[in-house]
Amino acid sequence: MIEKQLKALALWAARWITTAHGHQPGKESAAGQRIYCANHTSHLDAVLLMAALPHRLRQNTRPVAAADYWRAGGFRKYLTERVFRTVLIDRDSSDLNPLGPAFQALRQGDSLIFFPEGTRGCGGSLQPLKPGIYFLARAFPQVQIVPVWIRNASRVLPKRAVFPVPGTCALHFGAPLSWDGQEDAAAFLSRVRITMESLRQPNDRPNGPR
Amino acid sequence: MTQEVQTIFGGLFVVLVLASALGWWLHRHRPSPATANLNSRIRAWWVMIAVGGLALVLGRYALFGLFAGLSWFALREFAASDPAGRPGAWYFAAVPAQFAAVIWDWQWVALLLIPLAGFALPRQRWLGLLLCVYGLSFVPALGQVELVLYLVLVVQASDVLQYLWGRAIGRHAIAPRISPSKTVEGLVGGVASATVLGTWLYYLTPFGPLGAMSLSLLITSAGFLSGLLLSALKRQRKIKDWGTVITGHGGVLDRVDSLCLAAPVFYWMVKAFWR
Repeated sequence: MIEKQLKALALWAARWITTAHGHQPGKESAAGQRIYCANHTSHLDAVLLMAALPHRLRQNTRPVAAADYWRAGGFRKYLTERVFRTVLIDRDSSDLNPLGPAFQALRQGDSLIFFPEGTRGCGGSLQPLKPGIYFLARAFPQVQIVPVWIRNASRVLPKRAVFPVPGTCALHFGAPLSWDGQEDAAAFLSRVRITMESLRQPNDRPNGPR
Repeated sequence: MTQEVQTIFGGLFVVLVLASALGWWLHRHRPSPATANLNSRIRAWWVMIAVGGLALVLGRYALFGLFAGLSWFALREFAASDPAGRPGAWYFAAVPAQFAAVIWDWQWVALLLIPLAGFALPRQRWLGLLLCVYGLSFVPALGQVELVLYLVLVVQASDVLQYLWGRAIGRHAIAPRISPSKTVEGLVGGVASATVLGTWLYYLTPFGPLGAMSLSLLITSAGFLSGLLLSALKRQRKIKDWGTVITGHGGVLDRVDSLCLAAPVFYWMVKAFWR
């Protein structure tokens, strides 16, 4: 049962380091099943997003992460699999549907934290979105896709940094969207991308020179 | 908690009740974004005064804890938009180091550590430590609950009164490029009325009414300059507020900005003239 306490501790530490808190334009957010679709610049992103969610939504929200990265090493594996109940995706799988575990989780009724860029960026503009989010949206039309812009996380813990440095992060949640029934992958992805970028704040700055 | 401090908190309670009632009435009859902002500011004041009052009741160590926490929040906000980029993780160790030095009275460390760090740091990074850590650490360093209350009350009242006078009769902007909302009328009215308040509360200080009057004139002016300096830094960094933690006010640094310079001025004046 120590996993629960560890998770609470991690979220608490994340709040103290970053003031992680959510800004929700449009508070219609009934507790349906959702896929949070966020920009990815830091290992902290998923933790920050969970920290910013209200408790009742956080309970069954699980991050989606790369298996090759997060399954390595004992403590890291424990943290991802037991503490955060991460859905691990095999990026180099020869499987026809590498998103299998994510489909499984959505079928169980869980909500997901999804980074459609597929990897961490440097905090500048969004990288091209991978089509995974499109397949999820098409297979589960009842699940809301909630675009999120996470601000400043790359300043707190950028790629390759070991220690987080305190900073002010904020999470901007957009209005939920879903697949309209006929869009192809390119059209849907560009719609998601535009919504995510519209949430970006004017004074959002990428990680400057060190 | 002495009789005087209790009376002051009673007074603050009455002022807040009146302000909340007025804000509620205004928002009901003429709802606008301005009245909504006014109401969230007043609500935030309830919380801030409650937290400050609790720290005063709990005594000296709670005050150190409160200001170390504020300093941590402020430095975090300052560093988040630092044009020099991401600081090293050791940077924030300055907060516990400075406050430990002040608590245990290692005077030379407390006085010199951060100023001397200027030789080793980029300018803006040093400025962050000077304003958010060094400056604020002078508040609990005063040691006496009454003095801390006097300083914080007069400086914050001056901020609020400058805002109110500016909204009421402000016409001529002082530094339109730095802060369009700071006006000559607001400054004069705010500083004058805060000085009246400071003179009235002279019994909290070791001085007489005249001494308290000059002291409050000095700290409210220092507070104004401090706010102006931090506004200029905001404009340079192209941000509107330092943060979003206190609804209606912005960040913690937006709220404590006047104390950053007023606290050391007040501390040294008390040290110099208290016989």
